[in-house]
Amino acid sequence: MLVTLSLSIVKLFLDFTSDVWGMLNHPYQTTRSVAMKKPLLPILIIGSLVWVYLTFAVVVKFGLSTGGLFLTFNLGRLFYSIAATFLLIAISMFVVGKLFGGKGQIQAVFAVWSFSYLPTLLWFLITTIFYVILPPPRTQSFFGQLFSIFYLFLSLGLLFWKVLLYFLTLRHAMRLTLWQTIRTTFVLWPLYIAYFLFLNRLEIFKIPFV
Amino acid sequence: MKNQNLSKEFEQKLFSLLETKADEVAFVAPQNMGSLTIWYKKMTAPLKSAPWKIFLPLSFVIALFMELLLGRWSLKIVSVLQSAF
Repeated sequence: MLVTLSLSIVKLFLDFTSDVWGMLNHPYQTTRSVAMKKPLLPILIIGSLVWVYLTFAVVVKFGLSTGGLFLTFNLGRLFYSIAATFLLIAISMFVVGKLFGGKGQIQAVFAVWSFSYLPTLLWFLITTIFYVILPPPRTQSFFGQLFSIFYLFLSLGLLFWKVLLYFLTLRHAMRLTLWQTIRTTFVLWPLYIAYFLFLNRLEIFKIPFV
Repeated sequence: MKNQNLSKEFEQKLFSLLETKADEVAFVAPQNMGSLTIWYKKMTAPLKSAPWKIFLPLSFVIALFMELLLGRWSLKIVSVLQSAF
């Protein structure tokens, strides 16, 4: 029984890895299959990866000398804000998508939307690493401009991937047509922008972790 | 006899796989945008498989143009983004 359980766990992780690879190479097919299967494990794994990243980011930002309690407080504040943002966005996509004729299920939205945190996590991780290696501000020297082009190139590439996964979440998880997706986006994005500005005012995120 | 059983098993597995694939393909209705449908399908076909082949060159071209057109401002944008985490 223990062997069967271990093999099942290994299979789940292999499925997750295969889905991550699919999100990069075959996002259309992969989001469709994830929307059908509606797995919960990716949400837990990606949530754990976010937690690990935040631990690293908080130490880089505040330093180890600031004290454990302060670091833990900030880690908790950031993680629960990210979790609340994830729930808010997924639920709003489901509700507004349904209003415009979507036929999806909320579990599918949670499952597919959680994979869209991969480009977000990558971008924040790269930004944090560059903050340590090459802290801002950038100068107008040749290497400053070269780094600027490289950094913008990485950021834009990950942004395009994120936008594609957003569109595929609405397409496959909510089963919206293109016109329904456009109308849903016009309703959702002003609300999201207001929410992100609110989080910025609270000094939780400068750039939203979404 | 054993070969016949193996062949039947293989057929059943293959049928089951085909059924799953057919269910997957029919999961969402195809996009219907009237006369624009053919253009929409031509534009989105490359994004369905290895979209990074389009994203990476496009990102590089836009980054280069931003640096050339915005100059000092692109450096400020990068400095702001780097402090964003």
